[in-house]
Amino acid sequence: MQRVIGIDLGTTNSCVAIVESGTPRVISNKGGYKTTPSVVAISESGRRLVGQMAKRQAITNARHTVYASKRLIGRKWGSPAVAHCIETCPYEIVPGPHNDVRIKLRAKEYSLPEVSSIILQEMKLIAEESLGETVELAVVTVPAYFNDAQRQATKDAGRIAGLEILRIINEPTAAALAYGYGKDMDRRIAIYDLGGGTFDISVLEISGGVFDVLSTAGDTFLGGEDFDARIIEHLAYEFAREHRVDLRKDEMSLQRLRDAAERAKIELTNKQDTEISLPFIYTREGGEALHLQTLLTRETFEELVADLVQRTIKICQATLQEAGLEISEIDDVVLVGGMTRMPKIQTAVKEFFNREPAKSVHPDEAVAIGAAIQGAALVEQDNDVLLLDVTPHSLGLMVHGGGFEKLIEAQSTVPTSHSHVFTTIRDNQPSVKIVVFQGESPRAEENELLGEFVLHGLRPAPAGEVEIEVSFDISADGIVSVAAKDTETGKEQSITVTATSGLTEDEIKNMISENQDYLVQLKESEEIEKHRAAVRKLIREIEKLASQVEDDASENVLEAKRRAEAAVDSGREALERDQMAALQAAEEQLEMTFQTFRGVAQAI
Amino acid sequence: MQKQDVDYRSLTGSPSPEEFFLLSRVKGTVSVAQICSVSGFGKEKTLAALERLLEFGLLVPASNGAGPSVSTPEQAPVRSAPVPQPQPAPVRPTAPSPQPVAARQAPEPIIGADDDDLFGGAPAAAPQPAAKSRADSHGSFVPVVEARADDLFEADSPVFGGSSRPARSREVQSPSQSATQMPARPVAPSEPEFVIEHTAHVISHDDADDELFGGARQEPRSEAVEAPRVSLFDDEAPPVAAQPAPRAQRAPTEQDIPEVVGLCRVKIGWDDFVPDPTLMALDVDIDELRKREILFMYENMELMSYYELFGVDEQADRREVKKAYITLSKRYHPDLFFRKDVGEFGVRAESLFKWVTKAFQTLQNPQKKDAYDAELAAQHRDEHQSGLGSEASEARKEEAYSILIGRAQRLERAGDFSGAVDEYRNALSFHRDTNVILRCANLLLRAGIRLDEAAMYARALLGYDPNHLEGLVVLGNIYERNGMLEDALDAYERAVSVSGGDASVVVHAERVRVQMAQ
Repeated sequence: MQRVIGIDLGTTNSCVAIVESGTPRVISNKGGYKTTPSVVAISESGRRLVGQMAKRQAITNARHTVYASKRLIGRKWGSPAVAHCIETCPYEIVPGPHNDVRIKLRAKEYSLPEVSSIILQEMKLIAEESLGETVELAVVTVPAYFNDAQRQATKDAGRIAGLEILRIINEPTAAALAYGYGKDMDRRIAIYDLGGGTFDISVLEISGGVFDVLSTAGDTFLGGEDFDARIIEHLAYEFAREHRVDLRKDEMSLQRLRDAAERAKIELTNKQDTEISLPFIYTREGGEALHLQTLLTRETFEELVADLVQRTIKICQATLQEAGLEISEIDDVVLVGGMTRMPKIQTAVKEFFNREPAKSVHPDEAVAIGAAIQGAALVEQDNDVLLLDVTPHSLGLMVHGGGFEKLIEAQSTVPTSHSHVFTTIRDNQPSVKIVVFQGESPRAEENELLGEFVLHGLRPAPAGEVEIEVSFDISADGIVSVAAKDTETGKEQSITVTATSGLTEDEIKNMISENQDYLVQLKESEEIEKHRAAVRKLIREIEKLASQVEDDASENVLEAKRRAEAAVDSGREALERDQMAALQAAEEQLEMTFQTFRGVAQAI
Repeated sequence: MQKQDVDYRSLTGSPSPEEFFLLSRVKGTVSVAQICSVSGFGKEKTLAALERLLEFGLLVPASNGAGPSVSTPEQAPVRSAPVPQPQPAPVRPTAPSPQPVAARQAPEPIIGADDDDLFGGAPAAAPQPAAKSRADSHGSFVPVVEARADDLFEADSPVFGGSSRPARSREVQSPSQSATQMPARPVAPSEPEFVIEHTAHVISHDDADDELFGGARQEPRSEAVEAPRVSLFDDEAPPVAAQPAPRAQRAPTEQDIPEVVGLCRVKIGWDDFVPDPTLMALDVDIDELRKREILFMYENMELMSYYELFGVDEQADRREVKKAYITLSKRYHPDLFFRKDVGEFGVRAESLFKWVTKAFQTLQNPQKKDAYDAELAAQHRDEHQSGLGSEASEARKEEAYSILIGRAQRLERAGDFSGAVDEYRNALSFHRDTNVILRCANLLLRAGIRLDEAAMYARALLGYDPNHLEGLVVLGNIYERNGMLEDALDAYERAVSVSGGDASVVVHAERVRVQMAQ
């Protein structure tokens, strides 16, 4: 049986987990860390960097380092979210061919699914290295409040990375799986998930191994990054007041501020204040160096973000209301996401839910573990885990006058289907256009457009006489399909809705093959690198031997020296040519020479 | 499973905590599947405990199994169970047995389902008695079940031979048919011989099936009927052929089919169900039993009210509804078939899941529930007025019946016996069920009210079956209560002879004799 990994593709950090003989565990990366920064960069030499490596070089390569790409995935060019990112991100955001968003790194424009695929691939490699086998199946998590386009884009990212994504599941739901897995519990729990970029709240009922999501809500633009941004703003403002310089205008300064803000935020979890020291943060035109040196107290920080914390609590309130639940009906509150380490958030949650949050799941790892649990549950024959998730957004059609007619209400358990009979609005109307939207606004255009199609060949009749039955279906995968049928003629039209702003099939295929090419190249260059290292090492060894026998003038030694020199020369040449075959040949020759030379040297 | 009024102190040996727990949970009539699902200590343990309780005589099989006509050697403990105050009224259907599926697949005769382990005791050596024990182990709602079971054992068998009754013979043919034949149903469980007779008829009328079904459906049926005939009668050593049967039938038991199907108040007998053979023939990743279950539920889902689907009554609390929802979700959620080749079955299971979810959401939401209840009530009114009609209206009649029964049960639980009897009587206008009639008599007797009416119920019951043991005992009780000792003695004596001299019945007769002597 093929193994399925669970990937928490986070805004700031990603994590991968697997279930082995019934026990889920997080897989550490090469550096021994359980989470990997969701950062992708292209180096000056055109190399792809991911994770810690990419993060480390961000300050010197800010323009070509992508942070928080999750905030852009599945978004449309021109949306407020994208506009916000253009303003705040150091990397270059450009419009794509399908009204989508691309990021320009070095000479190439990358689509968001491509950027995410680089991270997913890294997680895949981490898992493969640890498991010692190839991994092709994955369950990937997304914020509960992601819309169809965002989910679809995430799925595409998986495909590009060479992963078959069995299921996209919601992050808080995954955390609930991690919380309730293997325990015989019958409880109603709330998952408060405040991650790097998104906030989600879900209320679930766990009983008999069934995880039934009652209600879910969230904000895809509220997370740790926003907390950091408040610190950055604060620091930049203070600095500007003193020096009349806006640090945010300078890429490198901004990157340093960003790092400092994140560090300060983390430090304030345990300490009451933290020293922020950024020497030489800015150099004036005259050459005068400016330094940033300040003390940030926890109190100030909490003031700066008070409204953000309050926003999460408001969403919690709304969710409970929607589910028709009282606070007292919640048995446990589980905190997930790195931001929930912040003391202010813990107290706010505790106050709102009127109970101490449960601490049994790791805030950074629970989501990946839940994804792995769901993956195992899907492919294994006997398991007791069943997830009944809901659709976070309402689905419907645009009706005459631009109104939005909901057909599937938000919070419906999936899979679900619903149909409704509509009629024509004009006499002898020959066709109807079915425009599918997702969202809660009564105005169709304010919601997310999912797709559209036309049902032709209606019978000529007075307005209102032809009846068209439109049925919506959401599969367990969350894939939306819509069918329209003329109830009289039986004429039918249907589409499987895929995000209109995403990539085309051809583009995805191209990206997949490009990625495969890249992987082949990567492997080759790794191979070459290995040989280069070996050649260099042998040259060093031989030179060391040569210096040891420098004084010996015997014929034997001189001959050996000559040969060694020749070998070293050809080795250097091979290094310069940087070709696999030459390097391999040189390595062999050097190895032989080294052995004989050593024999000669030892004989002395 | 029916609880007997027995002084626990009179027990020999000491019942385990499990047994006491079960006793406390069994109220009125409950299906074995239900007991298993509420007991919380696993099916195996539950069954073992139930078996012990049967031995103690604290429980009796729900249907009129105490009658001598159906008793078997294996059933000795049951027969000796004291029946001073029979509490029948299996208003919920007992779990239908999954057995016939296996029967159609496997050439060997398969004896009984999980229930039989209880009622039949040790694996039956000979097929016939086992078939009998099986027949009487079922509740009154699914008499047809028994008929199917007996298909296996061949009607030619002299033991079961008898005159046929064509009126009932067709009922077995199709789900929809049997739904329309409801009035005839109650009679069956009390008369196992009758069931057999009618089975004989089914087999001899194989040709007639064509008219009902068309050729396609016909084939697998006749094959199935044919197959056991060969193995049983052409085999040189029939008992040996029968031996593996008890093992073979365990598989379905473990799969909990009766639990899921039994959870719902299905009106059309599970065993009676003839799945589409083309679908059954599909080569997919699920076993025959599961295929059958999915097809069965799929065909029946819309005929059931949400309450019937979940096997709960209208007042059921959130937890009960949720529990049923979880059980059903775990059977039909598409994730269970993830990446499996299940073809059409996946589609059907998904529809089932959606239906179940819709039902759950309706019952969970007070507003939706009220609207739904009103809709149901309106439907019943319509049907009541429009009277007889199509099959669909038959199905709705059945719905009305179960709703009224539900109401009656609530009243009964609330202690309003008089009101309960009124509701039961209303229910009887939709569907004559001997158990309900008996229940009416019993309730009135227990409450000590409207005894004339009680006697009427008891006599009506005996009109259906002059040898109805519990009916006789109740009638005797009523007479005794009214001081009509001679009539009471008469009824008791008939009961004694029907029961074959069962001690618990003899006690009644003796008591009256003593009174008369005084």
